[in-house]
Amino acid sequence: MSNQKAHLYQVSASALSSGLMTPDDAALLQQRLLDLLGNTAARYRFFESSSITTELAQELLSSIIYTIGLYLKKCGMPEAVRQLKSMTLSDLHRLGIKEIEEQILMGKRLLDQVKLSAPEITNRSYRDTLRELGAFFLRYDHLYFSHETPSAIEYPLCNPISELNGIEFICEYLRRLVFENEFLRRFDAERVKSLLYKYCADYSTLLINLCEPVAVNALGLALINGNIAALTIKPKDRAQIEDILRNRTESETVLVFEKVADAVCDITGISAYTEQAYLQSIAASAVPRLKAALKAGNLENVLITF
Amino acid sequence: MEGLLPIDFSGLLKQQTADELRQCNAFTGVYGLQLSEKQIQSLIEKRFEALRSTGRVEFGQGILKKLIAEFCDSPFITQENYEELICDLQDSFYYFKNESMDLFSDDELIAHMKYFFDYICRGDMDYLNGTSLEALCRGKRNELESDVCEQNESEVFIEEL
Repeated sequence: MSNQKAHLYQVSASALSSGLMTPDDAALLQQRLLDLLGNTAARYRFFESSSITTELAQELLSSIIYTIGLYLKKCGMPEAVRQLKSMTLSDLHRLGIKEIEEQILMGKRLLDQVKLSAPEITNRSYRDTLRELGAFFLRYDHLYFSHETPSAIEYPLCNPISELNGIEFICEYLRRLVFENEFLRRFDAERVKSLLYKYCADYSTLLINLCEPVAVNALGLALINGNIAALTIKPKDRAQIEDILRNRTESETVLVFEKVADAVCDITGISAYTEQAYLQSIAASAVPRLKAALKAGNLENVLITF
Repeated sequence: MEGLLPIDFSGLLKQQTADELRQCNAFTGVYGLQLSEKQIQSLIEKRFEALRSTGRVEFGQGILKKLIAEFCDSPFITQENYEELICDLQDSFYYFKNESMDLFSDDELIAHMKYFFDYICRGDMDYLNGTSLEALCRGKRNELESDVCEQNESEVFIEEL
């Protein structure tokens, strides 16, 4: 289930263990949750049906928990417990809905940014995902199914999102996509296309991330103080990288690559902390593949020459 | 969902339903229909069983009062079959709520059930369950399917535009 559900449970569990909430308070909270579910179900059925299916009840409950969890997450830990104890769940739910509405607006702005910064490279899954992201805002029912992500988001990110769902997932996905777009735009489009063609000749139709091969080559070049704008890694460059990587453990290599990511940020003019952190995470996730390729003797499949 | 219900909460629901059923005796008396305390308790237990078996959750006081109010003037209900028929109607109601994909409101479904029960099935529950309500729900589902088809066609049309 979503991290919001876990978040709501975390808040109540922490309140219970710290003595801020008694077991009676927790039982009362559960009953208040059921009352809220009853009211929500009645509203969902326009007060015309006294019963709903178990599946629908579970979905509505997940949505309520997601919405309240999203608001409590914003409050931070001690404040979240205080709010949970002092406010009614209906009020917390209303505040959660308000928070979701703000995130929807932010998501729409991010989608505009993604569209404006989209790379001039053809990729079917990227194009379809952009369409689906637009459709998300039409399909998303934040009042009753806020925990759902009613869109087929296929395009894989360099650094995938594993735990989020609903509007939180969409906003985070868009944030990362904006970064990846901006990163790609720092390089010559023709060179990027040549690199992608060498990486996967069918890159325009296959489900691949466009940013990753570019980022890995840029990191590799930065490691040997090469010209990262050129993007290509010549065999002698690769041999040099191989020497650097060979005698280091995986954790040592991660540290080296995180520093290299900082160097790439300096060279390409990436200054925002979150963007630097994102490139560092790309660098860290590339290390196991580099190590495996090194071991298998086919580093040229990861650090590409074109 | 059952697991989420605190014991006193479901107890409260049962108590509320029992009170409502006792009140029903006041207006069903003119038709010669009365529920004893034992019958009330049995109907309430069967309500929870029906909900469980049809995979439904109910938050209010249930459908029994509405069913009794609608069916008490039926010429096919007597004191002898009263409890049994109300219990069967309750089962049918939840079953056909699912079958109609919740497209009927409670009042609509009860009104249809009453009409079929009195005028088509002549008090035969098997006939009601096996033919009339089945056909009604199938018709409602087909209506939904054609609505969805039309919606998809218009979405495709908009996309093409």
